[in-house]
Amino acid sequence: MKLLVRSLFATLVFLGVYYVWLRVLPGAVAVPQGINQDNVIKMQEYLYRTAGHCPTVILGSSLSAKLRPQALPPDVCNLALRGQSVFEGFELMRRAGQTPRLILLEMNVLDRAPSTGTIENLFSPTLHPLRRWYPGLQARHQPLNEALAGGLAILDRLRPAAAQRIEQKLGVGGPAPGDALPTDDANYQPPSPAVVAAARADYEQLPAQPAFGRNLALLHRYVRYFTARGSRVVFFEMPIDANACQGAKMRYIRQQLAADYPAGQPTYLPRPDCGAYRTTDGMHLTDPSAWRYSTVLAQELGALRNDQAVARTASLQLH
Amino acid sequence: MLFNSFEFLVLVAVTWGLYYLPVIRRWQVELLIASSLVFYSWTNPKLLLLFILSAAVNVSTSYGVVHGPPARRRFYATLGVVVNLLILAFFKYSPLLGRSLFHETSSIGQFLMQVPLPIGISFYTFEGISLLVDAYKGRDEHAARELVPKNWGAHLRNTTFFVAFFPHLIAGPILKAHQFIPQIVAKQLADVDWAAAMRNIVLGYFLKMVIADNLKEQTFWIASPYFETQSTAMLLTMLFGYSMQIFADFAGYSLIAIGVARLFGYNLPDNFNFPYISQSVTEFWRRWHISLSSFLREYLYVPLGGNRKSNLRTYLNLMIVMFLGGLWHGAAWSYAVWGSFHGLALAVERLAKPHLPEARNAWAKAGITLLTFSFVSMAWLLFKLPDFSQAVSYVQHIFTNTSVATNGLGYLTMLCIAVYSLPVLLYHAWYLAREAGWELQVRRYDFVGYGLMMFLIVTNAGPAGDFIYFQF
Repeated sequence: MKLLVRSLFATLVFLGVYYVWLRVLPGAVAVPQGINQDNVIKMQEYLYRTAGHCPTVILGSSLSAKLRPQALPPDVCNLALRGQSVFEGFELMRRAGQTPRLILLEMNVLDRAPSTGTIENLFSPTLHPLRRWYPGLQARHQPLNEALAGGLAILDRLRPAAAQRIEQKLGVGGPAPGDALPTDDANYQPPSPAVVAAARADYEQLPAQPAFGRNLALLHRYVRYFTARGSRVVFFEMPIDANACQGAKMRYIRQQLAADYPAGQPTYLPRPDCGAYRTTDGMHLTDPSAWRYSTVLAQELGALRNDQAVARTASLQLH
Repeated sequence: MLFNSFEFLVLVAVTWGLYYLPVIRRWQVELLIASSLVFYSWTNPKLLLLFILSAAVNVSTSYGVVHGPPARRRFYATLGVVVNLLILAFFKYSPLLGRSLFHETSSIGQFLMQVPLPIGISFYTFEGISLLVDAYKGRDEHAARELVPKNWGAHLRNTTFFVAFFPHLIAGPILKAHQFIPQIVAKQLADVDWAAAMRNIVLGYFLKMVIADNLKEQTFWIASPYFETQSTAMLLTMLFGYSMQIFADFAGYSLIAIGVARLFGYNLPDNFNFPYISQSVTEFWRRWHISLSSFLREYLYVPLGGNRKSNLRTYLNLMIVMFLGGLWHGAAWSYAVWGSFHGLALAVERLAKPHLPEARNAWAKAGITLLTFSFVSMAWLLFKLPDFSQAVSYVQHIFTNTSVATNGLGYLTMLCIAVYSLPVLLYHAWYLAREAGWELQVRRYDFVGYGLMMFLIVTNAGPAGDFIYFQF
């Protein structure tokens, strides 16, 4: 029993010291260790910090998760989640009681069923309030993440250029102020043909029914919910492999959405020229391409905010 | 119900809170049975039907073995074992048979492929077989009657408790009747070994939630087709990480089971004994999933003749036991291949041992340990990629992706694998240091280590997931 009591006491001491550490020296950047944690960090950042400061929100899958925040306006929150789709982001905003002015909806992965596990864990009746009260319980502040962020901060002081390179490779940093955005795909290494072929084959398949029908019905409910509260919903496509871009799946999704949401209000962003971008696997953009499309999206957002985009989307092409 | 779920903590707390109350003392076993049934049926109550059927078979046939007419003892024992094996075979191997023997459009094939796999069935059917064999081959009549009392109610209660006790119900350790049933007596709070219980539970949760669940994030890219685009360094690091993950996951589960059982006054056998320091595959199987390997040795290898017959027969027995042991893990041919690899390695070791010099210096021992670990890790690939062709392709890519560059996220993945593997390596190194006679004066401060582990469980747990061995 003595060991138990002493161990519990030691735990409390560690928790106390860590709490002070986070108050005094919180990591400047969040370095997610993996896919799932990347999603959780994004959602917790939104829930505990940025929700009230995001008039524009991007919802989507791992395709949109590649968008670089440094190239987007600072008040845009990217809730695109890897391995998931738009539904988890919608549910997060609904439960958080947020209605952003503009919601950008990625169209590419609407055939993926919504999952509930992450959201349920996020809003766990016990852990949700505890995480707000003790930041050490948030994924961003896991000791290993703080150690990584701390290591980068130290490196930044000693060798700023090296730190910047690492941050860029990890997808957590941008170029130095004044430097050009790294949008050049000159060093592009094409993925193996088998991987691209698998992506193309996937995009040649129509979405499975009746699951896709259920997804669309759910999408309508969320869109109605948020538009009724004053949000404006705009659909957009992430560039993928040029062949997959014209595949049966994307054509079908465009047709279905066009039937339910004719160009106008809600509206669509112009389709990207998929051939102008490079992918790592037929689906996900390379880092330079992601930078490039992020700047394009930023321009579209500027236009949208000036309310000019509606007129331009009248020429929406379905095929 | 998962050990790492909130519901489980509530179930243990409520059960434990009632367990030592004086008014409950007469009903301790019944209370644990009730909790175990809640635990088992939490996500799918229909599973209880099969579990009760299996328990009923074991209760009635084992009673027949000990208290039935002497001439029919063998019949009851055989009947019980066969029914257990049929239940296991039907629910576990129907999909495999459906895929292997029937065309996919065949109605029989489709029916077989839809048979669900009840959780824990591999474990509780083996425990039922253990009861029957122990009762039949009891050292003497007294020993058999200790396992199967004359009082039918007491026998029903003991047997149900033996197979249902929730800490071991879903993923072991696999209990043997002669080890567990004699422990069924009224328990006192004063008898609880708090330190042992706490050590097991904290270390178990640390291994599962901090090590295994975080490594699971990093080894995700082993999945097909993602591994095809990874560099050789990444492929090897991920394989290493998966070895650490599967150990942390399963050893973690076993430690939690042992610790929780201690809270209720029961001792479950150790299931792991620092397996990755093994200097041979033979030694590995004395240290890995000990309850399964000792079960297979006692109830299969020895009855087959063990090593008492010719050398050739010994090698054959090893192959048969490991082939079946592989199939026990999962209904896919890759598991059988995995078991056969190990069986072959055991046979080769046995054949070669008399002709090889004994490793005497530390470097030679380290080399053999590394060789054994490499073999075991390569074989784990068949656990992660049950499609045999994918496992072969993974190995091919280790050799062909030498020119593929590791990207920034790849380096982060490798760093995370190194960090999360370190505690497992230190855990094994600590054992080696003790074995080497180094007096580590840390016992006095071990509460700091347990405090640190609890701190990391709270702040650095990975995404909660199933235990790998649940699928078996």
